[in-house]
Amino acid sequence: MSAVAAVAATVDGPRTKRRWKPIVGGGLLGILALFMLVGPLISGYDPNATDLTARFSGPSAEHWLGTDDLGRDLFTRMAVGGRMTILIALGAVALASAIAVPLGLLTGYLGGWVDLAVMRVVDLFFAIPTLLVAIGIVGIFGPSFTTTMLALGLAFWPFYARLVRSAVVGVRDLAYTDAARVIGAGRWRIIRKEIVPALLPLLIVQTTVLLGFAVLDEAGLGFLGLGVQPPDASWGSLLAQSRGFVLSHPWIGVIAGVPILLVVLGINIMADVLRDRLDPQGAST
Amino acid sequence: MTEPLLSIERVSHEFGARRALLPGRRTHLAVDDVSLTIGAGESVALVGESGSGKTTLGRVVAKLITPTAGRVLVDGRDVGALSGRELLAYRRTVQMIFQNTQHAFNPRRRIRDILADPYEIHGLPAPDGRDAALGELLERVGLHASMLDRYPHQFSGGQRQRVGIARALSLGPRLIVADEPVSALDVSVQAQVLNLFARLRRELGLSLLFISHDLRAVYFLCERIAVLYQGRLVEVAPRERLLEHPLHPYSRRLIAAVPGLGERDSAEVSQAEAPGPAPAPGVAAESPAAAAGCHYASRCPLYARLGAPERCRAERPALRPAAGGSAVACHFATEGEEPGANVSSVVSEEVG
Amino acid sequence: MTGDQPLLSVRDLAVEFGRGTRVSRPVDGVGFEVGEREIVGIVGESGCGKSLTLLALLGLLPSGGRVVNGSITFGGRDLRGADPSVLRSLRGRQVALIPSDAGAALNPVARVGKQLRLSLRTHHPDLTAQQRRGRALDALRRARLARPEQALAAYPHELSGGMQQRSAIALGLQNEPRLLLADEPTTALDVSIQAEILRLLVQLRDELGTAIVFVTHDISTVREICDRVVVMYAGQVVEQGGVEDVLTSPRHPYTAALLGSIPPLGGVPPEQLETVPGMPPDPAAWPGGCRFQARCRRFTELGEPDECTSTWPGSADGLALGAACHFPLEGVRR
Repeated sequence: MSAVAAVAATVDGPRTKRRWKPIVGGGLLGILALFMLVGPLISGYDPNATDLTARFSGPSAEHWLGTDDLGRDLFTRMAVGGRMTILIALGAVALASAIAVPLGLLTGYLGGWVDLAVMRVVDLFFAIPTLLVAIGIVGIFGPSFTTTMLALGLAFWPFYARLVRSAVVGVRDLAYTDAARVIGAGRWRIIRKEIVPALLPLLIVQTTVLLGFAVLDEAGLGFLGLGVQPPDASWGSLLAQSRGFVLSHPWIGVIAGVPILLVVLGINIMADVLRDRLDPQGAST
Repeated sequence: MTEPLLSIERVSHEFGARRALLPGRRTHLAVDDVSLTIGAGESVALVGESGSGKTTLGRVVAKLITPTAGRVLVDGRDVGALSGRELLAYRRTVQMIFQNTQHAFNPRRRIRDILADPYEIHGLPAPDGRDAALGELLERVGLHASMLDRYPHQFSGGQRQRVGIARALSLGPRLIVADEPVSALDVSVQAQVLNLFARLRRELGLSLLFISHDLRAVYFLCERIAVLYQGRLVEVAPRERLLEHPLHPYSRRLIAAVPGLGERDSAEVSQAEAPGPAPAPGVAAESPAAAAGCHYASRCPLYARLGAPERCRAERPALRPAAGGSAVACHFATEGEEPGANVSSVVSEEVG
Repeated sequence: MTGDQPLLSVRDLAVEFGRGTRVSRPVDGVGFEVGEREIVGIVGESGCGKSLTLLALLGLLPSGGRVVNGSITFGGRDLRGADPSVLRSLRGRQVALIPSDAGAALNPVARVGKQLRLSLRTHHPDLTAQQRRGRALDALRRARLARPEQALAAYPHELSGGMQQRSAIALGLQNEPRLLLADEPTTALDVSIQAEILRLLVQLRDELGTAIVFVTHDISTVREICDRVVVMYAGQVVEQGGVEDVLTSPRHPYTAALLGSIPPLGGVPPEQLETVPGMPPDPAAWPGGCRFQARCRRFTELGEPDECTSTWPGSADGLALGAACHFPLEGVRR
């Protein structure tokens, strides 16, 4: 029946792609990036400058998104905080990948006792919720930009490692790795030339998805007061701050929360787009 | 007598053997004490149904797996312990072609990169440049140099198999192990690939270990045919000899099954079928009775006709020489024994 | 059912995929008939439209595919215009499909017996559980499964390839359909088991009177079981007729080439096998005239006559016997 499927595929052409997806996803992320990069420049405020005469001023021509309890410009703080959040997320994902990808490759390809040992450690991590792991690490080292990044990275790697490992196991036994061995390729060459390329789409998509999680979990840590410490701002810490005024000035919470929502949405849409684009048949034609 | 290019000496391979100590773990004897030789320039076929161990034996020869017992010699040298440079040299002597052309190539790499692998790994010379060498390689298997930048999925199954042959040829091997290289292809494309094998054999003097369940393809390409049944060699014979005077009852059954040969609803054939489908792999090897005696006895029409002789149950038949260069592992098969005559009369009416 | 009307009649069947400028017609004017108790083989290379033809009969074309022309008549009923619910009630009851890969077609997480009983319950809701079990057992027995009681309780992966295919056949046959559609039922199997399955199909036809359409790329298996054969190339029927006629004296150069590509058994093997050079044309852009012409040795031998490139040599409904060729081969006996 594969013949039938092949005919159907060639005849149908590539399945009509959802064209709105890259536009909406890319647009969202683009606007948010622009906001973070040039926001403080055009608003003209210092993110940490207090102005007690203008506390809790709502959105106005002067303060586009209003001010907080110390009269700091929220537009500027959100832009600067966004940078912090994104940096933390990127760092955390980079750290998680740096641990998980090599480990996943090794355990998946070599198998045996290495595999057994590493995967039991992974199981241990699985038994504890991600955020709890992160909280534990922050608890040990004290809250700061760096520890948040480390904590999230260390909390994420087990999921990622297991994912990479199972993908490697799927590829390892395919005939083309046998073919490479028969040609005389060594272990490392097979990993480099045969297995990594096969995993690349998965890695790219998974990194993107993790990025979304990292943004959310940074917010979670910040909300618990375990993230970036004042006077520095991140989306998480701004959200935590807004909690105090949720009854008197609810718009502060909305302003702090909406960008998180939008960035996670944008990242997830882009992850979808990447997954479609990186489909082996579509990628090469 | 000159030294054979390849000799397989009493090779056995048992899957799961290393874990045999774990409780509830079954081992499966895929190849059971097989010996076979291939001379330089000779083409030998390994035929049998799935589960007969033919692919496992091929993988042993290609050094993809290390057998649990026995050894493989190439040019009289044991290849079991090779590593490093010597292993690379072995790779240049023995190559393998795979059945499933869809999975035999990394879908994310262009043909150019795939074919460049052997050059990089072995540092092969390419006097007129790598590109010229790769292009020439493709032309040699009937493709065009312009196809180098394509991805594997942009080829048809037959073309992909040609690329597989090109990859193997790039190392200038003396023996190629071909594991069911045409069985996944359309019959019309099979003929093209078989022709390519035949041409390469003539031009390059290649030896071939051709693994297949298709007797027609095997007969076209190989001078000698070795029949495997559940891991054991039951008969080895020159092709005409096997076709016209098959000795082992299982060989007879295989020949009778070739489409387009038998008369429809032939009573003789139905009888051969009667004992029913093969037992699950592993079962036969484990039952001590079968291990001691002939593993084909339970399905063997000759055994039934002779009134279930004790010897078939008690003593494992050794491969013994017979007339015309054949060797057969059966206590009772003789050339005079009738159904052979029956089959050969059908066969000699050329059909198809 | 009147005696002289065929059980299944397909005329000028065309299947299209795609829309607008990307329309292609992988099946284009196929016609054939299947009589009661008859086994008809459809042969061709992959991509010739043989499997799609089969699926079109059942109303099971893959998404995007549609029948755009022709008629399908089964037991005097028009199937092309039939309501999906009518087709659904026919499938499995009067027409059954045997897949090429039984291992994939059987549900891996249900025991064979359960799958058999489920299909019985759909089509015979009035049977008791006891009766259903009996019928299922009968079906397995009829498919010549050794130890049918054990097979009933087995999961598909516990069976060998041949036993899986027998189970799939039992599943197809237990409702005693009038027509069995078999799509490459033996391709995935070993030669020795292939022969058994082919023989089983013939036996079942003899016992139950089921007509069979047998799709394959291997013309040598057609000779084993079929009464008539339809040779397809590039979405069209290029030759059809009785098995003996077509296989012993093929009149279409394509049929002859297909037969020539089978390696002969016995004697000294030839240096080269006959082959069809080149590749089949693209269904999105069928060439005009005879579609085989670009690969046809006879076309070259005859000095490339104009007819071959200008007009399609076949009949309008695809039903005509003999070869769709302007210059058919004469009296070539193989």
